[in-house]
Amino acid sequence: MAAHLHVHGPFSHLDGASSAADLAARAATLGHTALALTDHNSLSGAVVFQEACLAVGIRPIVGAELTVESALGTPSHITLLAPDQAGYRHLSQLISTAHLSRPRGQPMASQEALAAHAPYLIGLSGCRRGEVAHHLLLGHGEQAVEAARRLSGLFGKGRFFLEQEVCRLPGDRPLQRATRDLGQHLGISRVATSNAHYAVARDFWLHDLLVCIRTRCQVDDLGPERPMNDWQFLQSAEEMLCGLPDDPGAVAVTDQVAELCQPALPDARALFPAFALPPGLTSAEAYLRQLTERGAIWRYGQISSGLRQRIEEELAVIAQTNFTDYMLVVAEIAGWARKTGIRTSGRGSAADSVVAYCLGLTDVDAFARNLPFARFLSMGRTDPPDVDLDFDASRREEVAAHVAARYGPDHVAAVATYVRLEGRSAIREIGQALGLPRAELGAIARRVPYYVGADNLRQALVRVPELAQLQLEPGRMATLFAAAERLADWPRHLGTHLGGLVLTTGPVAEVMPLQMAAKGAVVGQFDKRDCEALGLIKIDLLHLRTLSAVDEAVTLSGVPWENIPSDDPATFHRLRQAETVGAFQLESPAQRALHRRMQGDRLEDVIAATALIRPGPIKGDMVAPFVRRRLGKEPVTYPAAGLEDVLQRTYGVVVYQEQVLEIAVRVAGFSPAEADQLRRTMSRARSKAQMQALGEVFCSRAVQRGVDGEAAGEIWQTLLGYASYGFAEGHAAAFGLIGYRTLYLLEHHSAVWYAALLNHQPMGYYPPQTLVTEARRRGIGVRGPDVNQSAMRWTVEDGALCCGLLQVRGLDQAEAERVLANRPYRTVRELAERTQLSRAALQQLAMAGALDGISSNRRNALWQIEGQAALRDLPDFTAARRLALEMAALGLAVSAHPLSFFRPSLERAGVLRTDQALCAPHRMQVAVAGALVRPHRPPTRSGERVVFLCLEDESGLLDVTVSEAVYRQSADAIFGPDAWLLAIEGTMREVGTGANLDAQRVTPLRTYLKQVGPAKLPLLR
Amino acid sequence: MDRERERPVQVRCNDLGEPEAFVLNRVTYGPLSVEDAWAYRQPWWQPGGDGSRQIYRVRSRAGHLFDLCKMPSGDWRISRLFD
Repeated sequence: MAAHLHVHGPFSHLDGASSAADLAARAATLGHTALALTDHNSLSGAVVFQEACLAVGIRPIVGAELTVESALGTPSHITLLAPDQAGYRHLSQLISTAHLSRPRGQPMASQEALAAHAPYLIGLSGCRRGEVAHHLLLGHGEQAVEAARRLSGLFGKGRFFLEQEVCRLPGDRPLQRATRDLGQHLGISRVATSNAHYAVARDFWLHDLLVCIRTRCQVDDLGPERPMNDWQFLQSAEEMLCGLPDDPGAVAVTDQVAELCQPALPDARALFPAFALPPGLTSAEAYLRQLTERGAIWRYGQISSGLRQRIEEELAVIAQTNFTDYMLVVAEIAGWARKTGIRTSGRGSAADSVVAYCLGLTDVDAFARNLPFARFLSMGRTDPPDVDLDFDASRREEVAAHVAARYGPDHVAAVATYVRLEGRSAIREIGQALGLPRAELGAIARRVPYYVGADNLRQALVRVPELAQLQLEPGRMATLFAAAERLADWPRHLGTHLGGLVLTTGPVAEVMPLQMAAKGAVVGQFDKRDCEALGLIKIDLLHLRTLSAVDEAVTLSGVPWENIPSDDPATFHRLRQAETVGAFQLESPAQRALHRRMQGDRLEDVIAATALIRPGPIKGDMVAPFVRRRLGKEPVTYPAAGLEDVLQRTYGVVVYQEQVLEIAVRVAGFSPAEADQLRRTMSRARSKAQMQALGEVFCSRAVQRGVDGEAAGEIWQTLLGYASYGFAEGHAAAFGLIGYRTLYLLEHHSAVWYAALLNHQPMGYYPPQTLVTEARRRGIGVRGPDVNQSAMRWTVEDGALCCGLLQVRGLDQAEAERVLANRPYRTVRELAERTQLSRAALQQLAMAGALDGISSNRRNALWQIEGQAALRDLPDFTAARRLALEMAALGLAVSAHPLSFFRPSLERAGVLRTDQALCAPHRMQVAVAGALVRPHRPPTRSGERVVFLCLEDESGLLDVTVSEAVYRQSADAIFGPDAWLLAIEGTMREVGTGANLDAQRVTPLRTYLKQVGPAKLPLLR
Repeated sequence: MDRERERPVQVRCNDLGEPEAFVLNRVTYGPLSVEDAWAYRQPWWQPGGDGSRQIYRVRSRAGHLFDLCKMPSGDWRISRLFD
C-alpha cells in the first residue's frame, strides 16, 4: 500500500495532465486509501479534488508545492500538506503571502513566511528543485545537511520528510542513496513520491504537450522543462519499490504521512460575518423585521393582513435558513449605494421576495405579482439565495471599496473565474505546440464559433459550414483533436468573476488563497462553484453599463426614472413597430420580431417578452402559442386543472421558472426545495437518460396524488419543453421594467439616449455604428469630432449627436484633456505645439476629421503633422478614402454610411435599400446590400442551424434569416474573418407589422457587383 | 576497451528487472551493480514513438562502467561503454 503525496492536477496550470477525477480513480484502482493534491502555489483544485476523492472512497489530502526564496540563485520548491483544518488555514495564508508579496504571476514565499506557518504543516523536501535535493545533486553535502536540519526544525519532529523521488531520471539512484544517507545521518524519515503530473503513464504525452504550450516551444524542440520520460504517474507500490531499491522503506512511509493528514477543507457555512447591528439592538432577526416593515410602509403605504402574512413567512424562512445576516448585509450595500447616488437595481430570484422588495434590493413587487418565495429561498435548500445587485458600471468599484472598508479589506475577496481551454484557444495553442503553421491555425480558429468546445472540434470541422469549407484533411489534425478532447475546459489562467465577492468573519486568506488578478483586484482562488460547495456565501455586485447610460441620460434629460409612466402610448407604439434598437433587452432581432407579432400594449407584455426569447421557451415551442393566445387567435387552455392561477398571466403557456416550480408542487406534490432542485436539474441536464429519470419521478408522484398517468405524462412533456435556460419571473420583471423605461428614453429623448449609449460602450446588442445609423435614420444629426468644438465624450448639441474626442482611437484621456484645455486652435501647428500630442495621436485626429476646421483638408492636415508647411493646392483624399481613414480612426463611420459609396452601382444593379425592401410586398424577390451586423446561430426548435443577421445600410436595418442550406453555401461570407459588406438575394416575408428577408444567396458585396456588371468600386478596407 | 554502440547483448535480470549480468563477445560480465537507472521516452509525436527505453548504468566486478539499454521491444543493447 502507498499513498501519493506529491501530485499535480489541472490547476498547476499547464503542468498537470489529469483531472481530479482521473487521479482519484487511479489511486482507488491502486488500492490506495489517500491521495494528495499539491499544485504549484495553488489550492484552486482542492474542492473538486476533495469531491472526486470522496466519490471513490479515498481520503483527500490538501497540499501545495510552494515556491520559496532561497540562496540557491533560483527559487526552490517545497511540498506542503495540510494535516487538519488549522493546517489548511496556515497553508492558505502562506500561499496568499507568496502571491501578494510578489509581482503578479511570480509567487514566492519568503523563508520567514515559511517559518511562520511551517509548525502547522507537514513538509516534504520537494523535487529536484527543492533545496536539499539541489545541494545533493551538486555534491554539496554540508549545505544539504544544513538545509535539511533547518527545514526539519521549522516543521518539527516527525513532520518533515526527505522526499525520495521515483521518476527514473538520470542521477536518480545516486540522489536516492545520498538522500537515504542524509536522512539516516539526521534521523529524518524519507518518503517516496513520483512527483506525479498525470494519472497513468499513457497520458505522458498530454503532459509533455502542456509543457510545450507553457514554455512556448514545439514538440520537435528541445526544452529544459520538458519531461524526458513517462514515469511521473501514479505508480503502484511495486513500481515505486522497483525504482527505489536502495531505500525501500520510504514507500511504506507514505502511509504514515497520509495518516497524519485528515480532510482539511473548511466548512465555510458559518463563516459569513454577523451584521453589525445598530446600538440598542441585539437581534439580527429583529433588525431585519424592523427594516422590512419600514420598507413595506415605504412601498405599500400600509401593511395589509395578506402582506403581513407573506412577510412573516419570508422572514421565518430567512431566519431558519440562517440568511438573516446575509439579507442585512446586501440591504446595507444597496442602501449605501442609493444614499451615495450610485444607481442600483436588483434582479435574479431575489425579485421573488417581498422582503427584498421592501429592503429596496429589487423594484419588483413580488406580492402584487404573487411570485413564489420558494424560487428565492425555501426550507431544505442548501444553496445560498441569489441576490444579484446591478450597479452603475462606472461606479461599481466604489461599491466594492465600501464593502472592503466596512468589513475590512482582509475579510473581502473577489471570486475567481477560470479562463479555460475552449475550441478557438485549443486550435491555436495545441496547434502551435504541435508545429502546425500559424497562418493555417489562425484561419481555422477565426472560423471556430465561440460555442464550440475543445472537445467538439472534430465534429465542428464537419458540421460548421465555414469550417467545412476549409476542407481540412482530418488526419493531419488528428493529434490536435485528440489533445483538445482530453484538455477541453482545462483551466488556462485565473480571472475575476464579474461581480462575486465573498465576505468572511476571519481573514479570507484563511479560507482560500488570495492572489492578484490582472486588473489589480485581490481574487480568491476558488471559483463560484467551489465557493458554493464549501458553503461560502457569495454576494453578487455586478456592473451594468445600461445603468451608467441611464444615469447619464436621466441627468441630462431630467426624466424622473422611477416615475416614468408605465402606460406611455408613444413608447408602446415604438415597441409595436419594433423600433427598439438601443432599448435594454428589447433590441435583438428576435425581440423585435416578437414585438411585431405580439403587438404589446402593456408592461406585462414587455416582461413576458424578455422571458420568451430564451432557449427554454424557444426550444419548448412556447413563443408561437403565447403570441396566438395573446392575440386571441387561439383559445387559452391549461395543461391540468388547478393550474389556472399559475399560468393565467401567460395564457396557459409555461414561460417562467416559477411556473415550473409551482406545477411540480401542485401536480406531483414536490416540496418547494425538491421543485427547485428539479428546476436546477432541468436547466443543467444534458443527457436524455437524466431527463427520463426525472420524468419517471415526476409522473409516479403525480399518479400517487391521483393524477391520471397519461395526463401526468402530458404535463411532464410540457415541462420538458422548458428544459433549458429560462428566466425567473421576478428577474424578467426586473429586466422588463428597465427595458421599458429605456425604450421610453429612446422614444422621448432619443439623441440624449443614443449619446449615453455611445458613451458607455461596449454594451447592448449592436455595435456603435448601428446606433449612429439608427440615430441618423430617426432624423438626428450626427457630427464628427472637432478639436475646437468636441467635448470629451458624445454630447448632444442643438439636437445633434456630437462625437467626443475620446472616440478617437489612440487618444487617451490625458491627451484629450490637453486638447480641451488649450483650445481654440487656428492651425495644425498651434495644436501640435500647445498640446504636445504625439505624432500618432495627431494623425488619428486628422484621419477622424477632427482637424477639418483648422486645415483645408485631411491630406493637408496629415502633411502638416509631418512637419511640412501647408500646401495650398494639395487635393484631399477621395471621399471613399476619407471614410476609410475615418473608420480606422474612430471605429465607425460618422460622416457617411459605407454603403452610400456603393449606392450608384447598387441602383444600377437593381439592389434595394433596406427601407425599400421593408416596403416590398410579401414574397417579393429582392436583392439588398448592407453591412453585416451580429450574425448568430441561436438554438432553434427544429435543431436546424439557422443564421440570423442584420443588414445595415444608410437607411436602417433589415433582419435576415439564412436557412441551413444557404448558410452552407455562403458560410465564409457570413462568418469568415473578412465578412463585412454583403449582397443578399431572397424573398421578403411579412412578420407582424414588419418584414424579414429569407436569404437565398449571400455574396460578398464586391463579388456580387462584379458579377452583375463592370463597376468601379471604392476601397473601404 | 573498445567503444560499442547499440550492440545487442544478452542480459540476465534480477527480481526487480534490473541487469545482474550480460554476455558480450561470448564473455560474461557480472555480477553487476546498478549505479544509476533512468528511462527515456521516445518522441510520441513521431511514427513509432510508442514506448520508452530504460537505461541502466552498471559497474562490472572488474570496475568497468556500462550503459545497458532495454529497448521498447524488450531487447537489450549496450548503448555506451566506458573505460
